[in-house]
Amino acid sequence: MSKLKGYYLPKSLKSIEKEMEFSEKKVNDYSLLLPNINQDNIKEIVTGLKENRKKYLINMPFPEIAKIYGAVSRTWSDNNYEKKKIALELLPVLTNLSPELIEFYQFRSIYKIDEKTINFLSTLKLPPDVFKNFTPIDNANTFVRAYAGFRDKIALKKITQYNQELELVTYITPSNVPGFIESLGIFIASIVRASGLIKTPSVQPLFAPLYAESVAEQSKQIGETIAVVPWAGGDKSIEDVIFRNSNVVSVVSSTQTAISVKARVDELNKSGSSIKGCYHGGKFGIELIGREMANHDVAGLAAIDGIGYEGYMCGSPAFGFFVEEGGELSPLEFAEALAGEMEKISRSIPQTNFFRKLRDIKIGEIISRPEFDGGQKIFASSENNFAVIYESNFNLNPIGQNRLIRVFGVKNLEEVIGEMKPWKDYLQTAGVAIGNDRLKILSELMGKTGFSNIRVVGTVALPRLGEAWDGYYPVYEFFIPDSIHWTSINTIDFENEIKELTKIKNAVVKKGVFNPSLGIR
Amino acid sequence: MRIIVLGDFMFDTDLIEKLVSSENYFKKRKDVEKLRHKAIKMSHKYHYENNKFYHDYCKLKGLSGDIKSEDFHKIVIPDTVFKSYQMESPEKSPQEFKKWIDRISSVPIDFTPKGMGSLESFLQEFYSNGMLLGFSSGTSGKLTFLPRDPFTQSMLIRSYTEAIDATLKLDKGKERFILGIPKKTFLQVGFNGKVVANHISPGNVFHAFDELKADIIRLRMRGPRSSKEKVMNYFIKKMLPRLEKNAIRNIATKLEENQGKKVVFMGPPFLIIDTAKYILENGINAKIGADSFLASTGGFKGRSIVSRDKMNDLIEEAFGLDPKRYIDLYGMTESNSIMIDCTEGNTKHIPPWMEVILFDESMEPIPQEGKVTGNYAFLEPSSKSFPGFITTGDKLKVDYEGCPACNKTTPILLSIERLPRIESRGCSGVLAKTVAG
Repeated sequence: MSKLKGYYLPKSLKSIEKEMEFSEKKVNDYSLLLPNINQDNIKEIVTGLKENRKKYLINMPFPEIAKIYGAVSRTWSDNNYEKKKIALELLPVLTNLSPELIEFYQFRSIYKIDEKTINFLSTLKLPPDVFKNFTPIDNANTFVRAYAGFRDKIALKKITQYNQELELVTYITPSNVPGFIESLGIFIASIVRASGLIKTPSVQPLFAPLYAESVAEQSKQIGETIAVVPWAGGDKSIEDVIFRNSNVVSVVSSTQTAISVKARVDELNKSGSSIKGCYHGGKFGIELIGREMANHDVAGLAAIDGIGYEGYMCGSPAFGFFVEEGGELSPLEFAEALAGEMEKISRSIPQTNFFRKLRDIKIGEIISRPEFDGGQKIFASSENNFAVIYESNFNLNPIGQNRLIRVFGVKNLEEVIGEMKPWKDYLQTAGVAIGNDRLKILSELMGKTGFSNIRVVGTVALPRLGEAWDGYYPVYEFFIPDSIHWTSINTIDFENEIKELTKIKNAVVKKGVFNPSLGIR
Repeated sequence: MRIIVLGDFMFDTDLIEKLVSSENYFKKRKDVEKLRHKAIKMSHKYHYENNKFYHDYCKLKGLSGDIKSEDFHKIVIPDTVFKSYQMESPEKSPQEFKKWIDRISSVPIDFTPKGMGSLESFLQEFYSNGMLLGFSSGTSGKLTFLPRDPFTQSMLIRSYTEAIDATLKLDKGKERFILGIPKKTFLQVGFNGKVVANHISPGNVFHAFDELKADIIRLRMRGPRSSKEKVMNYFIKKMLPRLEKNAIRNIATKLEENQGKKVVFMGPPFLIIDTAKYILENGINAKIGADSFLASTGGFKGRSIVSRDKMNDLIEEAFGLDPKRYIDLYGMTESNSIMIDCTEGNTKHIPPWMEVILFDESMEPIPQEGKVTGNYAFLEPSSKSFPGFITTGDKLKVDYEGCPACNKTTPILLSIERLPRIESRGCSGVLAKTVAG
């Protein structure tokens, strides 16, 4: 049985391994070694990481960092890369997600961590106009808007992000989006020239160590500034050491975990620490289809959004798909078209039985309600790959996981956005298909309501360069107060973007997701 | 042959009666399986054609009215269906609630409920019109309702009595029952005990409690929702421990009266324990006849668990009964049947009229061989008023090889575990929480 490390330590800290105890987790023909970290181990790790940062990273030029991560992404885009083969064999066992889904949504997001992305983030300076309206951002096909009070605006003006030295950034990562957040944590730590400590999710402690090893393959120096270890969340003896030594603690997890880490970070800050907490708890998304875009192409892209991470990504349209009446397709016809597209795409990005059964349970609950005696329609999959339910009366209930797609007909989208206000704290992404002429007015309304990510339909589960995140802004969130609410639109020209994305969707249907020539947007 | 015509397809009651028989515990397993599968296929077709919800559910999964045995795992419905109604208090929205019942029921309900004040009277209204709405509750206080028409009610009694017949030697009409459950209640576990005991020995059944109203149970499970309910809850909280003490005293007196005589004493395990302790503390002679039986059901939800060994000791000491004559029962509100410990090996037998399907962590059905553990679903064709094909929140370990101690041919249950995702909602849990101070 081959052994795999469920952790990553820099070469210079390998001696700590001898002091650690391990348990083993069997996955297929592999045995995953998992360390049981104690307080002494973690002290040595954080001290070592900080020292290595001074030695190897603090003076490394940004273009070099960018080149290294660009090379890492290219190795992962090679279907024959050994680590990728292992990840695609074992992650489905650990997460129940199909390999095709992992490739399309997770790995293809990682491929975007390239020179362009890193150069953009490492020289980030948003124009002051972002406080007035949605403003296009240089070198990113993105609009950004910030909502803030007078003091926050001044604070932002004063910030030059690199005047504050960050020694250690800690990322606590989730299980619902396996891999992407871990890789994001590692590269973002590097571009603020901090060492990075990643806590893996217990469900899959596999991907982050593999990715960290890939980084070390490309750059021994950066490899010396990263550590990936599991520990029991909430263990004060471990976390107090980590938090006290971190300049930034970023939690991407359940709301409960985020609240509990925040409470501890606040306590430590009261007793003299200076830790910036970045909290990304549970969120829900929605899909809004304008009448001018209620067509077959958009239904295909909406299907891509519904399938992403089986609906468990915080941006996934769990509230459902809201379609304006009066378009080329009526909301009911749109639901039917969406079902047709789901069937086609599900053949290229299949669903596992695990999620099918979870959907069955939820469907049972929904369709046992009397309103299903009339006014509702179900579009079933002949292969039990999804279910599209059309409901004539709209309701807000975030239950659209496991490819349970709920479509609602609405008079206008503004009405839906207005109804979202009570959910403000849980809003993140809206997948949107509207004409360019409606974009700014509707986006302003959505930003004020609490959305942070306005994404063109088909990209809900595929984050892009330059976007906000949960109302914060990546990298900026390490330095500036949380009271600024950031909203982004991930493309400038919706109409053209929908055409380009449709080409990719068609290629997925035709040639699958492992096709090396499949475009990335 | 008696045939009931409701939709386009007939429910074959003779087939069900042939299946729900104590004899099938001892027949060749393959022969019984053939009969059971025939009955499940018939029952599935009936529900497919007569139950609007089930029809849509099957269609959605690409299934028709004809089902193959290898597809049985596809027809199970989640137990949450039976509490999917949207209103907080059914009795306040009687028409809406009836619409929900209409949707999940496979038999027509030909009356218009008025909603007569309390939940208890609302359930009584249904019952008087031929539809038992037995319930169980979650900690959230949302009650699960199972609609049972007269035929399904009769099958519930038959399933219990045939299972008992296969296990115990009871003298019908002559047994004395002492029940630690209320005389009048729609709480399913209480209702089942009452009707089965009365069926076996009409007029020879003693109840330790008089009545346990659905409104009180709901209030205790979900907590008060208004200032009126807060006041009620305060008094109920004060009153219930007294009620439990009285019940224990009543049971002890009745057992004392029946010294040396054969009795069947049944109740939730916490009540049996507390009664035994009361008897021992007060020096009461409650040594019942050596041919008596003691039966518990539902586990210890909400109370501290007492091991089987300790229970055996207490039972022997307080009631003078051989622990082998103490049997534990496992059932569910959604099921018409119970799994009873055999007296030879104290292991629970799956009734031959129930198909048990266990699912693994990936929700794939586990082959029915040897000892296996998985998420429990059952197919019970005897329910006519709702599809008895249900996934539950329990995890079971089953030995398909059967019992090494007795001559029954059915698989046995080795362990029961409640899955963490499902709220604690056993009927005994309801009783425990309701009567706890």
